[in-house]
Amino acid sequence: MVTSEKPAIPANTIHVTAKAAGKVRQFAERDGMEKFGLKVAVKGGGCSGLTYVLDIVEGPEAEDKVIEENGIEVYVPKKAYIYLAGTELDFSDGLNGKGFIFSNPNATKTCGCGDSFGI
Amino acid sequence: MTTTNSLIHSPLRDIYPAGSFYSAIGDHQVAEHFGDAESEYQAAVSGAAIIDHSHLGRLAQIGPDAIDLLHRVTTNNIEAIPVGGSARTILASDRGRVVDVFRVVRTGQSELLLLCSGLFKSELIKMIEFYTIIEDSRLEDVSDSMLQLAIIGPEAEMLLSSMVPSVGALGPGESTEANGVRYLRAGTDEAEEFHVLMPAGLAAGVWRQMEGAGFTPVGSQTLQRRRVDLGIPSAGLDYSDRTNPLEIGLIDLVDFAKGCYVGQEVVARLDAYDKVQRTIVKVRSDSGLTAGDDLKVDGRTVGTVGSVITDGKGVTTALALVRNEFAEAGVKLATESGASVVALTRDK
Repeated sequence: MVTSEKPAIPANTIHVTAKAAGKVRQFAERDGMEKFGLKVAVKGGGCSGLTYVLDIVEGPEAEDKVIEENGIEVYVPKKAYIYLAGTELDFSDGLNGKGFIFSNPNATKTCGCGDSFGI
Repeated sequence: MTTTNSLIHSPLRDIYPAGSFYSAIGDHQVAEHFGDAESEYQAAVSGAAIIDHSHLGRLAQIGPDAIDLLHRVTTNNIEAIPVGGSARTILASDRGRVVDVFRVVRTGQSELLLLCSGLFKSELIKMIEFYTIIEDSRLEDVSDSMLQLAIIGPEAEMLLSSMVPSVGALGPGESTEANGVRYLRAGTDEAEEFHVLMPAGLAAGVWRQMEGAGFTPVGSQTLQRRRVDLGIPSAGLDYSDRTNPLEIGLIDLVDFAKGCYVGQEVVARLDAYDKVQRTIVKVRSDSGLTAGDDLKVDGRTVGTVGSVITDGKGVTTALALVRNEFAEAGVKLATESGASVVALTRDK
């Protein structure tokens, strides 16, 4: 039997898979954005207390941490980073796809829809 | 506010009527009555009464994201509150348990005033601050700089309108300002109530003016009696972080159509699958009951006593959280010591 383990995401970064990065690029190109990055943040709310925020923006804000992953820039507000460090962002497409999916090692609880988590 | 013997007392204490009797609620000293509790109660149910609510919590939440934040984390539809309006809401934990029940008053486009319990204020502040991450919203405890009175009784509106005419036009939850004082209609058809909110410096003058206009000062004992009469649960006595909003009869404060809020999955599941297992009932006993007493049937605990009032003949009436199958009028329950308790009505 052959087993394979996914390499662990370093706890001090956020990993965006090639598939998720490609989808972000596709959305940005569709919207005619030449310069863009992916804003990843967290806000209060949702069933489990905290909710993920995703947005395609033209550039980082002053307080954002900037990470380059699979050819795109990721902007994370410093206040949100402690909730997201070590997270992997993937994309699931197809009829039963769930869209962007967060795998967050800081989350101790995730609600049914996957958009909200608790720590 | 000042502190005496480790209790915080009201800035209005010096102008209370003579003969005041005090007790403690949390870390606050409050007037239990002013010498004649029965007359005070009669004023509250047949006339017009004024109560010092300075021991309750008042928080200002200000910023462009303040409304959106509270809408996302609490049970009711905060976005629907117009400027000048208000709504009660619940901050629940992610397990669907009550952190606090409070009223949100929209005092400006991006300004809210939160009227919360005094007992759970600290936890409410802690949780709102925890959920404020990237939002442009700040929370400030204004409990000392702003004071709060309540006006109750069937003649309250008439008397208050004679002093502040714009009060008569207020709909449920609406407020109006006059001379730096905000008057808010907080009651129901069943029980008229107004909140009066003002800078601390104006409170003594407003209290005197209302006393002069005919409002009878009443203490916490009257308020407790009226709450038990009406089946209104109280922080710390009838609900806490071990209670869900539905079992204490606060389903009207939950907007099931607004989408997610903290604890929504649990609350929605309890409602959809009819999984609420306890309900608030009024119970009565000839023996004394105390908040926190277990209520039993055949030796099995089926409920817990919350708010308690005792009349002059020693008959105790209380609100109790009881398992649904025993929450019917006439069901006989007992305390640990064997005292007989009878459930009255399910909702009153």
